[in-house]
Amino acid sequence: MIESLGLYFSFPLVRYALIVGVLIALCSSLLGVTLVLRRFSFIGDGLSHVAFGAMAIAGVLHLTDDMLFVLPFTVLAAILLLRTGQNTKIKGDAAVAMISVGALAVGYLLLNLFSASANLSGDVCSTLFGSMSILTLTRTEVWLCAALSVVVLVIFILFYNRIFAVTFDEDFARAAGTRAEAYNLLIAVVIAVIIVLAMNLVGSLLISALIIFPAMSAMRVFRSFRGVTVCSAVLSVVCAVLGILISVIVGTPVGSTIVAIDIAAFLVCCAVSGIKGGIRK
Amino acid sequence: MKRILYMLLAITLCGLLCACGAVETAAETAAEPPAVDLDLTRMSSTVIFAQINRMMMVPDEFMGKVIRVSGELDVWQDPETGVVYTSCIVWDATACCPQGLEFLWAGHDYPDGFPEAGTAVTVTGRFETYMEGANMYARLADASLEWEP
Repeated sequence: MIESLGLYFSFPLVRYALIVGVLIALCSSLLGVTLVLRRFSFIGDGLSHVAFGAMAIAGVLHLTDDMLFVLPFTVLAAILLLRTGQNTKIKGDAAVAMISVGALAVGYLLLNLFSASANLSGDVCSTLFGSMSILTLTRTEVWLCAALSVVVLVIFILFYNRIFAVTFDEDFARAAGTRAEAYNLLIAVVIAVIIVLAMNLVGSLLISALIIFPAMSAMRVFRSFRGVTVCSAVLSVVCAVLGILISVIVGTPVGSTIVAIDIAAFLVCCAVSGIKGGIRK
Repeated sequence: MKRILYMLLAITLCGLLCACGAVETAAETAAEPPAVDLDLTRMSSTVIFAQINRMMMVPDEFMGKVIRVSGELDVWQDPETGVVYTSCIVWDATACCPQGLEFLWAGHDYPDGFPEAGTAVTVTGRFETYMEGANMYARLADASLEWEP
């Protein structure tokens, strides 16, 4: 086993996958707590489908670097979906569902009509389920992912108190002088960036798991926002690393393996919560 | 005079014997497979697929390296040129995305000696790229081919 690990670590693609996987898992777990508490758990799914649609358009237009198109497109969708307002005619979950399904359908239709790929279903499958994407990153993509992840982490650390305030009580935060609209916009942009990055790790269809499971697992064990955030980050990183290593050694799809380990971690945290509750009684 | 001739004959025979030994050594060397730089047969399907994908994306990293890979034999003939391409196909973990690595079996032209398409084979060859028209392709040259009968 150790010899196998040593062999695999000698390949740049495995090292790149671990570096980017850790950063993406860390970023998604931090914002996942905010999204879960704001009842926006499925925004990850919706935005990932929008990103898929944008990738399809970028492919049809033969854009060399699709991230330059996908990222702004997804940011725009995030702003539209997450902006709070009293006069939005289509509310939260319906808006997410419409944009999500519409983008997925239109994207796949465009790919079928205009794509020149030799293996369209394979490309779509890999994008949707993240079976291989994290292991096929170029050095430029690794640097880009790392840079964006560091930016997300810095933003979260710098604005941690304001994000906390806006998440728990937006009206009070606004009354206390916090510019809630600006921070909502910031959160929307950051979420869009994380979604686009996370598609490389687990694929479009499984992104919600990367956002939801670490936060929900942490909430089984901790009660404070800080405790939940830190626990969520640790769990997400550990599960991502284990998932990548297991998929590399055993030969399973990367995205599904990471999500399976996230599920196992959630069950363990539920058990720990049950035991703690039993001890208290 | 006869002693000199016998000595010359003995030296000549010794020289011939040495040359024969050198030929045998060369033959043994030729028979030994080259040292493998990248043995994909020892890895999981996930890494194999990703590694072959990387060969296509960053071919310079693998130029001249001896690569060993196992997969299914695939044969395709260009309908316009009639050229036959043989490749070793591997599948990713979800079995939805095949990735192929073309190879040239040293001393053999398809179908001479080749097993049937779809046979599980192991190919060992030197990675190189070549141009066809405006497109660059990658393949394993001077390859050896192994399969279970």
